[in-house]
Amino acid sequence: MKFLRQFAARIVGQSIRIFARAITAVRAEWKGIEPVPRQRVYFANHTSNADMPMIWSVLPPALRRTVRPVAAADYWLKNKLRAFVGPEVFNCVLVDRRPEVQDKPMDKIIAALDEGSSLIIFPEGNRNMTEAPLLPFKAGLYNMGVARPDIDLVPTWVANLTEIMPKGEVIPLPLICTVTFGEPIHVQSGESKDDFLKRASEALLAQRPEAHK
Amino acid sequence: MSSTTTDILLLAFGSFGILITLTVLGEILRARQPVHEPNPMLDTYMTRIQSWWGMVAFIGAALLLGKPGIMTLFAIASFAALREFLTLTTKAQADHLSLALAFFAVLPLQYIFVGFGWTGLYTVFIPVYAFLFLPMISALRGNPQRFLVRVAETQWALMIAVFCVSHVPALMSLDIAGYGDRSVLLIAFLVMVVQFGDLLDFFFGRRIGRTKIAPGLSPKTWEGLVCGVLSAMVIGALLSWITPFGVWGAALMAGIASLVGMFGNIVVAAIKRDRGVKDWSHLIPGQGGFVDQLDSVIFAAPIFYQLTKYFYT
Repeated sequence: MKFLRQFAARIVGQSIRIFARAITAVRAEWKGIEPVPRQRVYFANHTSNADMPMIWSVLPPALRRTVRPVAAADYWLKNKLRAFVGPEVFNCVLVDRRPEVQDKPMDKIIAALDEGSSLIIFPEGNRNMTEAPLLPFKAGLYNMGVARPDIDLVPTWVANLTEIMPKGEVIPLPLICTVTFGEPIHVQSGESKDDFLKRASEALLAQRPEAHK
Repeated sequence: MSSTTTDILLLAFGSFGILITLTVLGEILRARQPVHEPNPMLDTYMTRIQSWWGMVAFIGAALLLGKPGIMTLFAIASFAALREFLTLTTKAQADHLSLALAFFAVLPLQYIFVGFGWTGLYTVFIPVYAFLFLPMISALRGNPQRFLVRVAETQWALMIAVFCVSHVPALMSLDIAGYGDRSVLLIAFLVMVVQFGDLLDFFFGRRIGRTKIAPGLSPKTWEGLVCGVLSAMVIGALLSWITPFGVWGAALMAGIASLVGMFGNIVVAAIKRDRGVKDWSHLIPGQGGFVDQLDSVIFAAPIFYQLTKYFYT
């Protein structure tokens, strides 16, 4: 049974990847890093639920196997299908955002890093529904950078998804989506939380393709 | 085997012959190259040749499969071109439905009309019906910001990526006296003369090009253009046996198609420059996107179609 579920997860994963490639011709732009297996935290802008599958789809197989997206438990455990896709296809690190639950998300994230996984995180915390390109970052990225200072924090810009599937629309437009990976950053010694988050946000904005500014 | 099939195979083997020569040439150059010295020029050349192999194989197979093959191939090319184009155009959420219709209704309908040979429909469907109705759908969502820019750019995308591209397979529905089912060969003729013209324009432009046609926009030179068009005419004359045009007519048609294609390439370069991109996309290794590869054929197709229709049917 477990084997069957794993097999199904692989099939679903491949289908998602092929679908993403065929419709949005999603493509990676390796501007600041090489696509080599190395422990990294990819931090990305978040405008749509398709952001994470897009980043996941453009990673080469060796990188995809070791990457774990950090995602909201309330979203991925809503029904049985999501509970299968989130934890089993994408191998998500599920964190509970509700304040009344003492879930300690950072413990789970650090545990995932210590087992050698790379992570995909969305430091804005929520989907950005505003006109501004980025929302202010939450502290999570800084805490990770302080706790495990050797790990590369890679700014990852996902372009065009707002136009492919704006909120409230049913049919996705087959426009070309680009995922740009920039030069990694680290928390410098003595750098304050606000300074670092500002620098991280600027590093991410710098990955925005020229044509979309 | 019909004579049309034989001719397609002849053309395919001819193209393969040329590609084998070019590949061997590249490999010899690479073998002479010291391993440690990178040669980006040679690498570009080799990836381009590889893409050409793919293109010749695809177009050859589609021509052999006949109408369904050709329709599918060009519908996919249109889809890829429209996707590249609309990725770069101005749009708002108010346009979402009209853009979805452009992809999922206008494009397939245009190819259905071309497939059935309904000339009266496919020549006016996009310039008249899509032109009038898509802006209405956008307007109903009530966002006036940059409205004219949005609808104009969408219409441009449809004209280039769907209307113009569909005029390549539309050549099949031309009823030319005494030419019978051979009109499929016109597609091979058009694509070959225009693409070879481009290749030789690139080659001569590099060698003897001095005067830029549109400085700051495109590397094309008048010297390269003249040599390219003349070469296209020679190739057109050599290929006249697959056309209904006769030797002089074939040379002239090839020259016109190649000339229109060259200026079309400059127009496309202007759009790319305006949007700050080097290529439309990265779908074809070494060549950029579908629009980069096909820009000259796209502009030449409707003119070639209209001239053939006017003078030979």
